[in-house]
Amino acid sequence: MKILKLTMIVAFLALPFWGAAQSCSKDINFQKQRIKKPWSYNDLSKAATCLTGKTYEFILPLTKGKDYRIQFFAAPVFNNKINFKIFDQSTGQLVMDLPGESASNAEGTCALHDIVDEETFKESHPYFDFFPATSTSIKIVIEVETIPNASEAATDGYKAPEKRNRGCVTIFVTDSEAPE
Amino acid sequence: MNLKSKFFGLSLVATTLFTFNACTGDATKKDNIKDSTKTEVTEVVTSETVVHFLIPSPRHMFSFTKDSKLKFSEDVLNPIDRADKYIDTRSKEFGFGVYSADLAYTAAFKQTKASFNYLTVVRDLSDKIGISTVFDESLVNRIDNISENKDSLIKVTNDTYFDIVKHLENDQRTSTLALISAGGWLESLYIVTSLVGDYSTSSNTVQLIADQKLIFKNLIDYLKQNESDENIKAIMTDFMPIKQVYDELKFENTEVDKNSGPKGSVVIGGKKITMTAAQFEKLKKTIADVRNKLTGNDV
Repeated sequence: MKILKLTMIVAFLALPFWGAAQSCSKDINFQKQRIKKPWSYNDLSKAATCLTGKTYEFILPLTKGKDYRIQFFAAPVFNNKINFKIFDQSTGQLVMDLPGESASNAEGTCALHDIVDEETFKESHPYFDFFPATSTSIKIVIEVETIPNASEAATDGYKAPEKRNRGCVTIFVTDSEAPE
Repeated sequence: MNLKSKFFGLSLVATTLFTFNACTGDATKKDNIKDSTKTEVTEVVTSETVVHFLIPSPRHMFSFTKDSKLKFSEDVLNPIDRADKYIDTRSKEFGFGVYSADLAYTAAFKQTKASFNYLTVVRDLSDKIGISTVFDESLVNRIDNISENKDSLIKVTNDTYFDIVKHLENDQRTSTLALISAGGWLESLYIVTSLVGDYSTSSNTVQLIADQKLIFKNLIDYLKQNESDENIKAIMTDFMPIKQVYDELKFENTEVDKNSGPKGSVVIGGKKITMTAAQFEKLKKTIADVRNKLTGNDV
């Protein structure tokens, strides 16, 4: 009985560390298995650990001669509070502005995650296709919103350190040969 | 409870956690994606914006050139025996990137024997820079099976590079990754510029070389993020002549038909990078000079 108690205590204490130690790159590994022709994996893909209240910019050079398909995956810990923007660096134009909310906007659901395919009625993940007419770079800006009331002022006047959620955000890139 | 029992209990927990971590089969993978790394942390954040400059791997360059007139030539590869001369950290890590590009080139042209030789060098160097764990039993078996055509040469080399990058990212060895990226980019560009032949405005490969201006900018920005490392600072200095040539290349506005892409695609771009014949020759020479200096081929 004592062993069981000890086991449970240690397991309880260890679980958060186990979770934190998980690598975001397994998200990419998983998606790599699901690529269908004519698309192939592009190593501009990036999985990063993100914190609420921070903004992340990803600069991706896209070369003429290929079509690019980009997908985003965000941990549900962010509770839909993520905004995605994509800028074309060569023109400075904002080419996509995607609100993070899922259709239901429910707690624990994932931004850009619960789209249902109209033909198969199965949950599928949205993707965005880009065709570089000339080689260019795109800037993907991901804003992870702050958790409301996370930062509370202590009674002695010192501001307590902000409490932030951490989770994986993955930019998954595939490409295919562009027609001449 | 005696000490033995306590130890048994802790071992049980450790084993349970390890097994749980290791046994993520297909059935649970989707849930893992949704629940990945959800942790609450409390910390003082110093900067609110984090910028990631992404650099394509060496195979990127060769995936664009496979349909062109580029041929395979062993003469452009960094000699295998040169690896023994890389003693300090900078030359070993930069050299690792160089040999990774050579490996990608040999694999892209399906040169099995040369690929094995370069894979061996990459593996030896990985040990010297502390990433030999990437070459685990599973990967070694895959490499062994290439000769029996059980696995594609290109796929194994690509997966090896992917595993190395992820390993370095997980270990937060950003300086090592930056040096490897720099070596890989320079060597792949050296190979292509050495084989491309004469300048032509209609050559896709010449345009590809000009377009490297964008990737080079990302690479320099990425190196800058790590310039507190002396090795990175030194490489940045070595890369200055290349920067000077790329800085000379201009952008030219081009008419873009927003409907020119495949259905559903967003058409982007609109500024073409131009390169004259003189700039092309200058770039070729500069790339060769810098590459030969950094790899020890100038002596």
